Amino acid sequence: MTDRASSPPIAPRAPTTSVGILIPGLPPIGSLAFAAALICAVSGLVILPGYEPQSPLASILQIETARPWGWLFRGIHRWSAELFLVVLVVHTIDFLARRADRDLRIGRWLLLVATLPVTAYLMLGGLALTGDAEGFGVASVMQGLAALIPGAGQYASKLLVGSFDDGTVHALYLHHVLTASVVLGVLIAVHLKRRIPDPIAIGVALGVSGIATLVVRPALGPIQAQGRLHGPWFMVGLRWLLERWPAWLAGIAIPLGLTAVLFALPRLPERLARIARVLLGLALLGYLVLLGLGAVQ
Amino acid sequence: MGALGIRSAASRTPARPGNTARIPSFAVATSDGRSIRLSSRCPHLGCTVQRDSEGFVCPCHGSRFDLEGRWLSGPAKRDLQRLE
Repeated sequence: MTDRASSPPIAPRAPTTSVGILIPGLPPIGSLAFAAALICAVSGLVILPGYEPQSPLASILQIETARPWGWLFRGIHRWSAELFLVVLVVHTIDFLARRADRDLRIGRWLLLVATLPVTAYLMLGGLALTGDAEGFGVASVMQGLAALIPGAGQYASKLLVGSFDDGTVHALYLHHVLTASVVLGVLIAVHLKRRIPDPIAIGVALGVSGIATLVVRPALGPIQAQGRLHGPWFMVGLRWLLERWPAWLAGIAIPLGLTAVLFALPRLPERLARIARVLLGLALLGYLVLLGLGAVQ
Repeated sequence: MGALGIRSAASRTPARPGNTARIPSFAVATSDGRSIRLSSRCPHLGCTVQRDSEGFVCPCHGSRFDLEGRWLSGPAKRDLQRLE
């Protein structure tokens, strides 16, 4: 008894699939991601009735100027989406750093990884829905890249982006408000440990996106490009690559290859998995450098 | 407008069968006096090119084309499509 009492307490093993990074004073990263997604969905529903895919830019201007607090809800929608993207990437890095993927069943892991491309598609689609020159630039690049998918390019392009030659964005709108949003909602729901959002996380996400809206109102540009289009900040690295490398390599092969490595990670032998982790880490670092290069260009 | 110049910009071609239907286009005069229509879509990834004094430029990835739509620089590597 004396020995047991005097021996140092054994620290419990940190669970690998638990809540993720814990920053003092901030909610767990997974809870923050869920909260940001929830706020994005709710604010999107608030502005949805005013949006018209047959006249995107005019209807957004109407939402911003004529609907009560429309500018605020649109801003919160935009910035909570950006917050969700950032937090999701951090959440994924944290997950990989803790090797938590090894503890999950493969099906669950596949669903988790699928969250990343679906989020990217939803965000790009949302930017395209602005209907300004930047928006149609994003839509054009999405369409052009989808058309490069071997064997299914034309179908993918029509299915995922549709036609917008006449200035309407019906296909993107349908996927943004319904198909892709429902898919993302399901992907988030299947890996939630608690379905009730953390009130602190909601407060933080709402505070961040609200303050961001007050400081930087999401811009709307002219309908015709006046000079260089810069695209969303998280795509400037890809833009930098697309200006220098073949589009099929920079826009299709590399993203699909990295996603495939991520998908396969839990099933790889330990030695290969280690190499894959290094590869993914280098890819992430490389993309951060490209973001910097694209931003100063 | 000089001997080689843009007559009208960014008109829309009438819808008809084929892959050039409904492609926004530029009508330009060539150096030998012919009139041609050029697709306004960049052959790189499909962004709408803008005209300037030297020809056309893609606002997305910076490809440049001369006044007759011939590729000059940038990732497109191909001329602007001539619409018949």
